[in-house]
Amino acid sequence: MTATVATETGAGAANPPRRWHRLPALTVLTILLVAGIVLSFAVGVTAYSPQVIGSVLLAHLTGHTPDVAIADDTTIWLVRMPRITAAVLVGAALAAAGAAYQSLFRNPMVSPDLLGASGGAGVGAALGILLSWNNTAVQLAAFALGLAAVLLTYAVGTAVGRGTESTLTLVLTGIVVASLCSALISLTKYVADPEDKLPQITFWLLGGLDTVTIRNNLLPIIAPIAAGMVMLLLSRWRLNVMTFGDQEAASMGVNPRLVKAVVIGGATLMTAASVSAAGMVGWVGLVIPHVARMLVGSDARRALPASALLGAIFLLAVDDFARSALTTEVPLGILTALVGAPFFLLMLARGARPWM
Amino acid sequence: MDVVLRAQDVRCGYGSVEVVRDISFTVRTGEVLCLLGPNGVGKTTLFKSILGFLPLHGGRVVLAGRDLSTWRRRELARVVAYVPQAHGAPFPFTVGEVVLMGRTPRLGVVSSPGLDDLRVAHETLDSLGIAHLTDRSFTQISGGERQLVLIARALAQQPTLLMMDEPTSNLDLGNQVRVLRQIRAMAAAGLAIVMISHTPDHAFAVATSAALLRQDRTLQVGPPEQVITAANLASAYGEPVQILTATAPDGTPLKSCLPLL
Repeated sequence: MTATVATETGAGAANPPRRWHRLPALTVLTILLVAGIVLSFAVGVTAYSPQVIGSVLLAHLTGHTPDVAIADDTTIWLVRMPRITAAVLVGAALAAAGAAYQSLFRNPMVSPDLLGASGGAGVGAALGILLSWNNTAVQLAAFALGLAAVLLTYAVGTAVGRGTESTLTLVLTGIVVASLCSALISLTKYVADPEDKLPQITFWLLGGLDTVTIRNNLLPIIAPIAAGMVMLLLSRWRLNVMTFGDQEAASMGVNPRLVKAVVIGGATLMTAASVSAAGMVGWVGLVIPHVARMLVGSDARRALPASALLGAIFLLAVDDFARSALTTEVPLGILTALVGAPFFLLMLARGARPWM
Repeated sequence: MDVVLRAQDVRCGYGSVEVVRDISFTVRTGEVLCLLGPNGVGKTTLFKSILGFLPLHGGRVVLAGRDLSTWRRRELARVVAYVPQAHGAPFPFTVGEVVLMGRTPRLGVVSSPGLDDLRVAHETLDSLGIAHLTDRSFTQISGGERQLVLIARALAQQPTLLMMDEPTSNLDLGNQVRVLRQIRAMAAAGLAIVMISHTPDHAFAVATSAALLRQDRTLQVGPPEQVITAANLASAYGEPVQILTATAPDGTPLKSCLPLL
């Protein structure tokens, strides 16, 4: 892949001015994602032809009753559609948030849970399950505490780090808040009923999309993920400038504090919403941006959309595997780690270190 | 020649700690002011205060006729550009992309550079003779090339004042000469330049005026040959030096500063 990129850029070197954009990669990823979505509707315990899938989806989107058996309608519209949509949204959100954080914090080893969004969401969910709240309330609690944890990190980090190295203080505060959240999760597990609540909390934290429904899980996350994505995309050029540090960014007319607030706000909306619907799905936000940068380069104008598309494709593929390849469904968080960790090691070993 | 930068009785420092005071000097278009002085005397603090990174403790900095405090960040970046010491980057941006970032103050708040900006970036790379680096990774070129790229990025801002922080530090002799030649060319093209340096020779080579900041916080400003004397340097740095004079093949007088060990 790196070789392809090199020839593409080399070809235009003779006749300036030219675009440094490489749009084809994004087009290819979009086509792959659409193909992946169609394929995901088809695969599963029951396989469906594209005609059946198309007629069911079209009927629902236009407000008619589909002309198929009720069981097939249920499988396609009420089981697969929410799950596929959630996989696409969560994968795109986590990968885009990770890519934005890596630029903002000038560190390629950063993931979207850096400032405590996942930890806080975990506390909210664990608490909700402990208190026997319903599915929707648990998800809202997770979302709210995910936002609250980052707000706490931001408030404390900015107050403590007045002056020069405020980014470092923010990251350190994030580590403290995340570790505090992990202690609180352990506490809820410790006091939870081991027959009933403890396994529920544990399974929730492992992550999965198997229980996603339209009304309860899907609708509440669409708005925050869309809003977060818009905030990140609006900041895409300034994110490039921010990788040179606050002072140099300021010397180029960027307001570092404003960009930080917008990007942290957007990434947190996306991460908290994702975790609230899918649980702790790790590695997507760390690994996918690296792959995206290898494909399209470091410029966030391309790396950010490429990360979102790749993240969606990746999580969709892993979730398809989770629900159709094995007889027992393995939690999503376990699978993303089993795929992500070796892949990351492979990148290191091959010397494909996109940050060097 | 227009006055670009005027400092009047400037006092500056970090937080409540005052580092330098009673600083006054003027820089006009086409002038190169070289700021010399021992480590820790406050050169960088003064520099950052003029760039607006640190608030002034007192006095006035007037930029293009307007008080520094009245400039908005983005407006300021269209007039003053900062060239940091050559450094790496956490991500392998191409040289073209790095230079394009210099266009940021001239873009809308949420917009990205367009074709005009690409053209300016390319012309800038061309004028510095490094157009061949356009598609190379900023993290994989040499230190000297990086310094030239950072100068290109600053020039892409199309400023009237260039603030250069030790532009020749960590560069080999050839790269030092290339950067110095560039500084002279930019001044000849009408830029006002303020640079920090640890090498008095470089002030002789390119500066139209030199400013020597001493341990006792006094600043002496004037033509290089009046400020950079054996006596002044000895008192500023606390070590004896000798100034040598020679003549270049084309007849221009050369001066150099040598330490007496």
